[in-house]
Amino acid sequence: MRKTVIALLITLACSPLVHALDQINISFTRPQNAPYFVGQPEFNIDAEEFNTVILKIKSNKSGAARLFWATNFDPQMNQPKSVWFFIDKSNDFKEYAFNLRSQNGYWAGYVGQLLVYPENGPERLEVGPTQAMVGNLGTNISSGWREFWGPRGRLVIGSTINTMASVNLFGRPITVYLYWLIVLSGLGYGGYLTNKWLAQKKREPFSLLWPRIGQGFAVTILVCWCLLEASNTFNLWQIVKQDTRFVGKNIEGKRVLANTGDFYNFILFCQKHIPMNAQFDQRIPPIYNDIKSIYYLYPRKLSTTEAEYLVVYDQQPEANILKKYAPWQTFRQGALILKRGKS
Amino acid sequence: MIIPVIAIPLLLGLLVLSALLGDKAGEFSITEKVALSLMLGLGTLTILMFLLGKAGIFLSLTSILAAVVLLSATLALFLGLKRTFCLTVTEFKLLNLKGFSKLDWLLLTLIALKILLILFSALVKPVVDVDAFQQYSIVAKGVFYDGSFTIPYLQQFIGDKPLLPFLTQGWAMVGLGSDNDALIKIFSPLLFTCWLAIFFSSLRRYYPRTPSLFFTFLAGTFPFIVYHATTAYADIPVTVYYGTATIYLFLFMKEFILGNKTKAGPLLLVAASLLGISIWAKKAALVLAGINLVILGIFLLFNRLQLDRPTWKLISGALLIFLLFAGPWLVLGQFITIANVITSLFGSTPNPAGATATAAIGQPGNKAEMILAIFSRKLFLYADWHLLWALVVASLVFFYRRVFSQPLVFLLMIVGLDLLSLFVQFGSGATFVLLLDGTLLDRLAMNSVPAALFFCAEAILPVFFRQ
Repeated sequence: MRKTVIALLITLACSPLVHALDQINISFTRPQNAPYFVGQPEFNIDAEEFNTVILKIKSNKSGAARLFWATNFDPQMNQPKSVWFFIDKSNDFKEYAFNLRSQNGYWAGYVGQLLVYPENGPERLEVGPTQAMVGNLGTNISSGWREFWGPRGRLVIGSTINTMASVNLFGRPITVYLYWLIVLSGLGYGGYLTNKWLAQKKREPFSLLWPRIGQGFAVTILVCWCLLEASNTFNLWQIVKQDTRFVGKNIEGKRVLANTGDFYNFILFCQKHIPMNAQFDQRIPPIYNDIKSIYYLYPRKLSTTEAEYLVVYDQQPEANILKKYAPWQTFRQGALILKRGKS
Repeated sequence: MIIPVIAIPLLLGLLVLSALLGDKAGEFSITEKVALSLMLGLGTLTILMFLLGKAGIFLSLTSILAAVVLLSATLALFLGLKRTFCLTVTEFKLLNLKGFSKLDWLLLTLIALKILLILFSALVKPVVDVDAFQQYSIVAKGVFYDGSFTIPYLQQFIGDKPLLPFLTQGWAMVGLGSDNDALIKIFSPLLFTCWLAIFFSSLRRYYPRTPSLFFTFLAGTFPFIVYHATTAYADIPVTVYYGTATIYLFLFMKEFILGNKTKAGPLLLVAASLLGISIWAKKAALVLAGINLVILGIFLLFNRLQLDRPTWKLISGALLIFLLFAGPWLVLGQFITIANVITSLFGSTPNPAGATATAAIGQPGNKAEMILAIFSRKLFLYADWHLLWALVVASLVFFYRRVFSQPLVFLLMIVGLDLLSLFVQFGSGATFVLLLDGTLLDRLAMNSVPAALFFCAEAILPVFFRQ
């Protein structure tokens, strides 16, 4: 007994040491003018063993961010090897746990570098000392919770118009868990009814029992549907919250907000100077400002052969084009209207 | 200024609906009639604008209103002679919300809240989705600034697409007197609301208020449809027109089998008119309308012994109405659309991207497996449809007696063929690449969703609430 107690005490005393051995400390720095933070671990992380990363982030603003990593299999930072998460506004460092092995199959091999990319910009944001560690029940629950309420399947992105990803939990769509719940509870209810049916001395036809089992399944599906809808209401609320920035603006102000940088102000500048019935050509980098300009500048029509005006926005026109056009109205450096013929 | 933009098609629709239903309007609820009026009005307005444009008449507020007034006057004269109108004062007096339980109120509030959020999200911001402004809204600007959709410059944006999304947005701009591309999206949330109103009224004919409201609440939950209701794409119009047309076609079959031929008649006429207008919304509706017509044919074949002279008259009338609505597009619009749809179904159009994608997959067997895998993943594991397809499967397994007997089996056939048509289209046509890049499948599958949910309601509710 005494030996057991001593062994237990020794184990407990050593546990912080064991814990410390089971984690790798990583510090993050922001390269000059870079919109991201890079973390350099002390040595390569064995993804098999160190399945969890705990980020510490202090941020003056909330918003979405991505955690990328590079491995010995694929040293590039790219979207498949990333997880998407929400950063909360906080005055102190807040912990963000990610069980990356469960969330993303590409957490494999040896991880040499981590990168945090805040989508709302890196300003007023700090990434503190971070650990890669062997996850435990607490970090797994925290990771699952964050993944479930994360941006995947909740934030509107370009492809939302074509498809909507499901919210994930431990790397699987939430519907997978609901299907298990439906099948198991349905089978349980079916088993209970069948048992009762078998116990009957004078049994009713099975064809009457079967729809009653179906009722159980249908009710479970509908309850799960309502749970999904409750989760989806949060997404709709996010959309509405995002859209409130348009409230109180006139249509031009709304379009300025709906576009990036000074693009729509440049469009307004073009609308002011180019006559309504004129034709224009454009040198605007894709994608999508080149398409938007055609829409916004209508009834001015795009022509690649006989346009009187050339609209240039952050793209250098070819030399042979510059022979035909001369600068006419300047919005700013790199954003101007050229007119056919020499000025 | 947004009120007249809605009120004019609504009033026009009231007259069209009155002419369509005659003295059978009492078979429809007041909310259903208002929803149908807006839908029919928008369709009729689109056809009027199309005919004006094709005749070379400048599409101004004056010319459009003149055409609307002319048609309305003709319809009013006809209705005056027949002494009929689809709405009566008594109906408004009978409107009351007494007898609503707390659960009913909760469901009603949730539905209303969803509609309000969609309206807000649609109208507060300008058009931001790529296809919306590079295709539909730019042509709407063409209608507003140049008074035409036929000028050569706009044809590159229209292609062989049907004109309802272009012209309804164009009407909104003309009616508003500005190119306000936030407000031109008004018809997407309104069509969504119409769909919910019709869905509720259709169920309410046979089931108690609470389950009807509950399934209507479910109808308003599909995240993908909700999102599309805030945009200016063509997918909401085609889903709503085709979905409601299918529901009315099913209701016709149900009443016909129950022996209520008087009730069945107006349902078929409404189904035919909505199906005709759906062809104006999106190319995909050509295939879908074909499926509905084939299933109607099979239904009539199965029930040929009950086909008497008045029923034949009704069916001929319905076909005539379908052609009246769809005809101008099919004849003056594009035969080429039909050709394109057929070639996309059978894959005879050379498409380098499609060929590359097909080549990459290798054996035809692999291709079929891949299509099946993508299909099942999209239907069951994505957020688009919540648990709809699981409910469809549960309905098939547990309520097979009801599901595989008349009339529900015909609705099942429509839903099945709708999905199968996607399978065929993606499997053998040039659109295979669009399946791989994930841009089209969900939007095409959306068209079958209203009918699929109604199918579930019809399969499940009688088990809980004996009819």
